[in-house]
Amino acid sequence: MFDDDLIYGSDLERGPVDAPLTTRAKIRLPWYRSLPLSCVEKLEVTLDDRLVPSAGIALRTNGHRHPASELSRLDQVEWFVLDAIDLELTGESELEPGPHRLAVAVRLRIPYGDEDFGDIEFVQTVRCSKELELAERNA
Amino acid sequence: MSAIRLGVTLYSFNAEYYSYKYSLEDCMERVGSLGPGQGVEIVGPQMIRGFPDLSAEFEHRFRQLVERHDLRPTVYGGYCDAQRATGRWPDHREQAEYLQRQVRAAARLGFPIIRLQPNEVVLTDLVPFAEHHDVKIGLEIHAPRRIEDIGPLIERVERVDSPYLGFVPDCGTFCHSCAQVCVDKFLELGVPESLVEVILALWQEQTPPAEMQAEVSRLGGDEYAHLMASETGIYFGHSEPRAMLDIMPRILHVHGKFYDIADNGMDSAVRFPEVLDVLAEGGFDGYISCEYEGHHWYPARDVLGQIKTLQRLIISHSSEQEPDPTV
Repeated sequence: MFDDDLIYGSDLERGPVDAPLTTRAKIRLPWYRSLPLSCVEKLEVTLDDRLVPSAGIALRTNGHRHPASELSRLDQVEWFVLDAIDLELTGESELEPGPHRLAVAVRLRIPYGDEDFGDIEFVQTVRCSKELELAERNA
Repeated sequence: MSAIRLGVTLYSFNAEYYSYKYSLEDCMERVGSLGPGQGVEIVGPQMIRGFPDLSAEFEHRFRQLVERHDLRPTVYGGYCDAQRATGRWPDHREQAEYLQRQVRAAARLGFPIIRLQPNEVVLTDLVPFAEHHDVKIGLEIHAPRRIEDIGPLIERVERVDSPYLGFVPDCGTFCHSCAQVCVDKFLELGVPESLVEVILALWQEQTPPAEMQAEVSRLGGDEYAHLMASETGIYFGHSEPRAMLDIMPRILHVHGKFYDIADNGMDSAVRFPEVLDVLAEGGFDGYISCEYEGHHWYPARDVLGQIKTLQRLIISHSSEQEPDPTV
């Protein structure tokens, strides 16, 4: 559902001044309703055809930064369905200005199973790839 | 004359809402445009930031919109979300709290019914809590589940025997075919017409999912063919409308799920004439909330127009029927 909307907008942004190796894109939750971050089972990112290591991926919601490794514990943290949240990528060098191809794959656990009335496995895997523009350093 | 009442779920406008084309206000205005007294149903975690809680701001915003557009809150779409925590089920207290917050929200927003799913806490502790807040719990019967398959659950609800615990059948469980909008999508994605025909025939025979997937593999189907086999099995159910007669006194509300409404009001998947006949026979006098779900395959195709046409069918059908006093 909503595959083409997974990556929002057409820009990459630089991270804050004290984190020059960080770049941010915006992503939408590919489901019809809000879910907790614990339902993001898998988040795979490639930037210019290079896989971003999991340790370099974080999500930022409501001003809080959540490393990918911690998402599974966050059943109290909401990803509101209308929010485009920050996908924060930290690499080994600064990204050059200009076009970059970002590909994101998300696997969501849709939490509708029940211990007594049907323990189902209901997942949604959504992929999106877009060319995004990173502005010059002082823009 | 059947007293069935008309409403809409805002989920019908899912594609427009998600893409920021319609705000909550736009959705409510569209429902109001159908005429005074329309029922309105919302999905809690779609519309309400901070679900399962409810902010004072949303409460006032919603109530003002209800008043402005002369609507009637019918159902708050709630969720058990029992798999929300990774690798563990919530304990009883935790689940009770998650559900109580939703019941309180439903009450504050003026909803007489909360839609939930079968769950141990729902069937026990939540019933007196809901009664205290004067909100009835409607257990949704949704495709691929059939009424015929949930005998033990029906018995359980009968044993509780409370006016605050009942059912919400979703018409997607009463299908004569797979929806044309679904078929069109998979043809567009390149599934060969011959394989589409095979999948549809297997659906008609109520082939179990594993067997359907095996046949698709045998015929060399790609990932889209497998997805079509999976989705036809999930979305289009095989329940018989007359099975509703067995639970009619416990039916609190009906979801009028639809996919492609033609000019004459007929849907390409759902058996509306039979459903409406049975509801009239059973003397159902609650709301039927029209619910478009074609957006799963294509963005909305004149949703409001389809709702209007379907509601005309419901009215014209209802006016021809008399409830059967022996039911």
